[in-house]
Amino acid sequence: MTTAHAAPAAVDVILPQLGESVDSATIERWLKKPGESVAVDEPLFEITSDKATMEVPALAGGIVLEILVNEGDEVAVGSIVARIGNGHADGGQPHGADESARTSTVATNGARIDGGAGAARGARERLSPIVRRLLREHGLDASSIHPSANGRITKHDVLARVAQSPASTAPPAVTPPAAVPPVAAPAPAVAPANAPSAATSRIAPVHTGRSQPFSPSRLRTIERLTAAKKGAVEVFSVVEVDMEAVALERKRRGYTYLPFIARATADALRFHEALNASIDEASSSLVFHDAVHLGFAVDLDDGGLAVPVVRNAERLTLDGLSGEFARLAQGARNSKLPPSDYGGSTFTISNNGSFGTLMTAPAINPPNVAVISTDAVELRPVVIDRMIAIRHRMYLCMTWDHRAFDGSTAAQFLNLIKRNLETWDWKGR
Amino acid sequence: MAQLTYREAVAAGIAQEMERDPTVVLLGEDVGPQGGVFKTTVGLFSRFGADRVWDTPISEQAILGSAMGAAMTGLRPVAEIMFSDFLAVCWDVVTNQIAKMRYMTDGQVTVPLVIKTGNGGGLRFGAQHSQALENWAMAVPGLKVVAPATPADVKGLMAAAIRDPDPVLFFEAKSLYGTSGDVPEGEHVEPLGVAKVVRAGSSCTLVALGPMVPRAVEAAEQLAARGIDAQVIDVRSLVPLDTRTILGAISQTSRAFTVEENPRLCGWGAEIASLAGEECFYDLDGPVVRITSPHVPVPSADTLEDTVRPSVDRIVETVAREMAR
Repeated sequence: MTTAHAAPAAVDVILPQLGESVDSATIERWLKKPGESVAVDEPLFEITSDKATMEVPALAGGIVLEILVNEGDEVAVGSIVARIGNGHADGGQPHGADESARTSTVATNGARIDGGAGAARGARERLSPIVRRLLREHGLDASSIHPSANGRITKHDVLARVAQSPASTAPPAVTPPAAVPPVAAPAPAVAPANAPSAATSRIAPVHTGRSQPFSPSRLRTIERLTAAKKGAVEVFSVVEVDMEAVALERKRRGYTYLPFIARATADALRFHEALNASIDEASSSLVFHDAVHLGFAVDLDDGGLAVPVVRNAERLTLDGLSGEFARLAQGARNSKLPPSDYGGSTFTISNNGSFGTLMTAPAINPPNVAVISTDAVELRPVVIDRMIAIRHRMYLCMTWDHRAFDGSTAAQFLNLIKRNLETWDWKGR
Repeated sequence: MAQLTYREAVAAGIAQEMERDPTVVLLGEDVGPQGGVFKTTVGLFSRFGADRVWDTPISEQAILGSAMGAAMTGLRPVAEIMFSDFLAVCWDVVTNQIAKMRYMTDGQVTVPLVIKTGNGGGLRFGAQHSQALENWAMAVPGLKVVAPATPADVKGLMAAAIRDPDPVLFFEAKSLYGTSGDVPEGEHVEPLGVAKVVRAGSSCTLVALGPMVPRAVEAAEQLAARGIDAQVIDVRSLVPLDTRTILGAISQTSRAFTVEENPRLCGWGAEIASLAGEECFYDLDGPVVRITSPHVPVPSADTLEDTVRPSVDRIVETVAREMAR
């Protein structure tokens, strides 16, 4: 049962059956000319048969687009004698979702409603969901597909095209399981929409977007991170730090939080040398470093990650650290740093707070044995002296290699950084 | 294998379970010595006696009310409602009582009950005795709904329905009672909630139920001559619905048609179409098209009734037309 009835675009006017024994008639007179409008049931032309003369009403309203039979000519019953449309230049064929309904609509009394040429063009533009999906997955364009006989590109057409060019860039669509084992029915009734189905699991490939080869710097990042995972026994520890004092001082100086945290960290590393160390697997020993060479992560424009190193960070003041961070970050982004600014770090800071993260479990930067992440400094309600205050707070996170030291060391180290940040008078630091 | 008619298979399924389980009883109008108005219970009275096969008064409320009570107190009744149309007069018992009991008592009381009923048209019974209303039952949470298409499935699904711990509506296709087919001898049980691929095909999927299954299969044979290789799925069980098989099949062929005897509005195929739209959208190569009875009462006149019910010709023409779009 067709339910949609859009206004037909072009209606063929057909010579109706006039009586059981009549199979042709003569068009006596046209009552409308091309270009004139005609209403439904309004007389359109006169005919004579061997039995009678009569007026034939229009079965559809609109503009008389063309008259196909001259006055005085005899035509067979069922012949198309004229066309009525809505007067648009292209035959008035709008393209849309209701088109399928229209092309299937058959008016009563023999007036055939035809999609006409416009229907084919509309069909060409209309792509089914699976066709769109396959085109995307195979990196094809609709214009490169030859539609089947019906004028519409089907799944079959796309697959035929794909079969022609096996070298297409994207991986082929997941083949649906040939025979799916039936689902066992839970008692006492099921909610089918929630039932896991083969179909659901197969929707995943839809979200497969474009693919992009890794840049050289990204590949280097991946290499290092993979190496870090190889031997390390990673543990994650977090302390919450009150940053109220730092927030005030940082505002006064116009710095980021990073140099403050680096300063507090470099100091803490002097007391916890196990964290400023590397594991030498060849000699099965922990190698302590005299100086603190502080690596810090810089996002590169091409998606890679650089880790320039602040040399001898333990000797630098807050101003010195701030200057070094600025110089190294900018240099890394411009690819202008000499090799001497990279490598040889003894400890690393991953500065994620600027991206608003609450906590981050950073990846250890080998050969370091620990890495801290500084996350977002936020105003939070905290209890101080049994009263609620609003303070700048931050989670200070650390991933560390359990092979090098134990949890108590990690906690003491983090708490020292915390105490430095919370209690230091920054003047002269 | 034995050759049984669809109606004989009904009795065979019930007999198998009555033999196996002494708590299984049968009740309904003329189901006893008469063997049922549709002759689906022939031989059960003589075999199992008046203690287990009960003729009832002509009151559907009484049949289902007493069957429900029997089920709640330890029996496993099979209750016949002669024409499914008459479910309407006992719909309160079915939907508000039988379907709800397990949930409202937190499982303390269950209703292991089968309501078997002659369903659908094609036999010139007119508007009040010809309805296909499997979609009514499907819409009630707490009911399982089964509608077999072959004698083998009648026996196997009847057995499973009787063994099920919860109420099952068992729709027998009146128009298929006279059809016959191979039925496994001995114990035969088909699990509820499993659809069956009855014809393989790659062009499109016809999802059919009950009496529309043989029509869909015949239509598929005719479509094959036109180069359309249609797959046919027998849904068999509307609740639980085997979405994995049905949606898997639709995803495979990318085109789906439902063939439904029930009236169009909210027919069971609407649920299939909706699920396909939701879960198989990116696998579809065209709209899911439903072939149904129109939304009218079933007419009495032979030709009109035949026009209303989806015919093989209508299935063939609809599928061919849509596939050519």
